[in-house]
Amino acid sequence: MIEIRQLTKVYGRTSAVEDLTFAVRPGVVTGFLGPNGAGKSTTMRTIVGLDHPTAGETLVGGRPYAAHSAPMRVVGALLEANAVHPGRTAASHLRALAATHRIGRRRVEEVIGLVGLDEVAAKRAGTFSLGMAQRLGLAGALLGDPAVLILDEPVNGLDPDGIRWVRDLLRGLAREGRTVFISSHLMSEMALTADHLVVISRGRLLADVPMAEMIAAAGATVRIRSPRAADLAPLLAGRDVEVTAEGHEVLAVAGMTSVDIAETAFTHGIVLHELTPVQVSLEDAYLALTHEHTFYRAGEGLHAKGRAVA
Amino acid sequence: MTTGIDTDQGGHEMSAPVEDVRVVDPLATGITSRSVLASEWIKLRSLRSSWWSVITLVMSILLMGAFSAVGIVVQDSPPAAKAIAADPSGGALSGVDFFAQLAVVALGVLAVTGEYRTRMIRASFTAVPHRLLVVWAKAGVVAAVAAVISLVAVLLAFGISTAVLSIEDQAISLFEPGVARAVLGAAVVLGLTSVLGTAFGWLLRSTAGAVSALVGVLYLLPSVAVLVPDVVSRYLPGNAAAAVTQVTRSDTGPHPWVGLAVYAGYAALALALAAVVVRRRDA
Repeated sequence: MIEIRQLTKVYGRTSAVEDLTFAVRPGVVTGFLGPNGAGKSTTMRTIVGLDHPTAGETLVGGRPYAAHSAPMRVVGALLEANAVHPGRTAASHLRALAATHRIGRRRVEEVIGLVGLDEVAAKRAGTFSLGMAQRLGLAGALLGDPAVLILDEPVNGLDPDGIRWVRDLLRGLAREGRTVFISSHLMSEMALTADHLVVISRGRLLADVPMAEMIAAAGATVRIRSPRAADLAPLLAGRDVEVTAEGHEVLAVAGMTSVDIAETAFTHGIVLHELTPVQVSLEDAYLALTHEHTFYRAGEGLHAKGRAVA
Repeated sequence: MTTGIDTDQGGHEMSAPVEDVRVVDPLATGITSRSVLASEWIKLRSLRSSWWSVITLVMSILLMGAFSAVGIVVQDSPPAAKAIAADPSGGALSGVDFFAQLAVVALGVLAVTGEYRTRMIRASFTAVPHRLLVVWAKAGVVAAVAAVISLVAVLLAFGISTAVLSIEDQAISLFEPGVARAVLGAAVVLGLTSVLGTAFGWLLRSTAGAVSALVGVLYLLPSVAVLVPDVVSRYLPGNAAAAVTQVTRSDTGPHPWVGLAVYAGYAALALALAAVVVRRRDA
């Protein structure tokens, strides 16, 4: 369990995080989303005591990180791949970290095997690709067999095999009852890995919802094709229903189920050639949510179908 | 749960709240100052830059010592006997005051700035959130390595000088007044200099910045300080250290033991300052 309580972090005159409160529960993978500069990394750094909060506090397992006698056994953190001295071998790097908690050589070799770095363990980390550096970072996070994992962009730089491996690993760890908190910009990957989402923007909480709810709230649309689309549109449009012409004889309807649409069309004797519920992707849902809260917009169309969650 | 919009979870999630798992009793394997020392020892010896600093340290002491001894032998003026009367160590320590100092400055500075440059420091402080343990452990490990290696190198240099000078039937001895003190003092001073190196590393976080600042304090400050009264300038770090490592006492320098105490004081002060800064700062 990770608890963020009224966390505020100000750098100079800009506040990276403002009065942020949420909790990350064990047993599920929680995704941490937000645009660049939203305060994700700051929040994660604060949890493990690298940054000092300006106000508020962060607790892990009910205590501040530094109050644990063996923090690596409680929290495994990967906040930056490449936070490794390039002149040190992978094995020496891990041994040095392990030594702080009197974690033995066997465990070091175990995590090296677990992340698949056996063959390069004796090589200097400076020669590693980004993907290998990520694996080394993950090995470091797993050293203490921690109950809580905090990973900033863990699949960054990994190949498809590596990405799948990390996904299975994280889901497996969550199933064991651990708390898994990850950030990523890869929405499709997050959609597959996370069960729950925390979304922030400009240092403030936008959403703290289960994945399914996030996508549902973004508003699934229904695609209709009908030769009398122009007649049907005004019949469907209403207070909570948004009808958009998507082309010749094609409508996109938001805020109405396909059943209701079919009934309405039948009542008025309008024939339908197509009636397709369209599931909104996490990416759409996320963009819709964050764009509402962002002053600059990347252009029209991106968020046309969106409705806010929080 | 304290806040948030989360209600019930859907789909494939677990329905009941799950307790945090704790696989190993944390009390059994917590952080201690010894475990952090062990970690810093692994870090120091697993980097090539440390080895280069140590090799430079040893070579500067051995080569400079040997050159001095050869110089005494081949030069006629002053005669060898007179030269040894002036410096009973036969120049065996001539590498200590500058070149060896530079080597241990590099050793101490790099142990810290290497972590900042590579962002390893974040991994280190995540593993050991009690940052001061890391500050003390780095200083301790670096100082021990610098002092032990220096002592061995200085004794070797003394042996080489003894052998070279025996060509001219001259003898030097560790038991002449001031010699043993200078030999041991050199090891302690070099250890303290490496501590100053770590402190400057913590304070400035850049290799170039920390090395230049510390070299400036040790070598430029005394030259500039001809302008200030003698009472002040004799206690400057560079002069205090020289009082310990030079066999023959200069008229202007402090008493060797006073010099050592003052130099140790500077190291302690710098490290304390570093500790304050490191604890406050975001990593």
